Amino acid sequence: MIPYRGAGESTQAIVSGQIDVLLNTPAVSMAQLKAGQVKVFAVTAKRRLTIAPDIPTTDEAGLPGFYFTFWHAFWVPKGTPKDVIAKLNAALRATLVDPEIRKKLTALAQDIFPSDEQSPEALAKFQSEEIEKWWPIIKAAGITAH
Amino acid sequence: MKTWLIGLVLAIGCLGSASADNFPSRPITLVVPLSVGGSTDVIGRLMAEGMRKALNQTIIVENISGAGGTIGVGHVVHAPPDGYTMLIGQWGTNVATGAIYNLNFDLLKDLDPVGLIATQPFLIVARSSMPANNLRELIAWIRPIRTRRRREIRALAHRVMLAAYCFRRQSIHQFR
Repeated sequence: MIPYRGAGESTQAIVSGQIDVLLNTPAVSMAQLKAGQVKVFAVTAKRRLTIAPDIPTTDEAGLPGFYFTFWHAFWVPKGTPKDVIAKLNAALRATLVDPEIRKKLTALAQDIFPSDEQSPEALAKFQSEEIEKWWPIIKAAGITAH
Repeated sequence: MKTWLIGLVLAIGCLGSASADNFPSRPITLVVPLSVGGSTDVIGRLMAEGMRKALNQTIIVENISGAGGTIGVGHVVHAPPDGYTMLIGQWGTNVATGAIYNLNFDLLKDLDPVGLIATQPFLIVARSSMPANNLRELIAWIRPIRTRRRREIRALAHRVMLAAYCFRRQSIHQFR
């Protein structure tokens, strides 16, 4: 296992065949795949990528449950009135159906969460699951801030 | 005395309006806990653009970066809970930091969720001369070398992902 400090160095290493396998963001890998410089075997998520629907998920490709997605969300301070949160959530949903915004997010290799996963409750559940999954892994790896 | 009373009445009036039907009646601050130009900043500004239209109100994007995002997240935790301060966070700032930093707040209990935006998965990439043509063949190719079990490969892969996070997201890692 070799950590590389930059995308340039590691991209060169995989393209020249110095290394065998790596994990990379779709934004970087898609260009190399199109140029035939690498093979791409799976996407580490439950759903296929909108920008690359031919690439199977890890579930489909033979490594079930092997997920790592870098997701974004909105929060407010604890105790914010429910009706205010509902208005912010409605604005979030309205933004995520805006064709212009969708186009721009997709161009950034972002996969927009489906509408049934855009509720505050869905975020609470997902964040809890992620914490439950990753904290033991991070702690076992002994990663510290410095 | 009279002035003081008027002041008090005005203050109560302001407090009352925080949760009222006219939200948002003034600009909202969106805190980005990381620096300008990163993916969280770019996504935050894009979302602010759309939400500005949906809410018919100004959204001011404020970058409060430092300590893996924990300073910006902490700022929102301690902001008034009136909807006028919002946080855009992600896997690093709102999951991983809880296991890495000694936080003086609770990531789940001290924030209220608004909603999920979007996600970016990773790709498993191999060199073009790799004999394997799919993930099953890749696992089979790795296994005889080190006689690894699937569970061990997965554990190793999780460590690789973490390493990717620690060396910033654009870093790339090999596992073999």
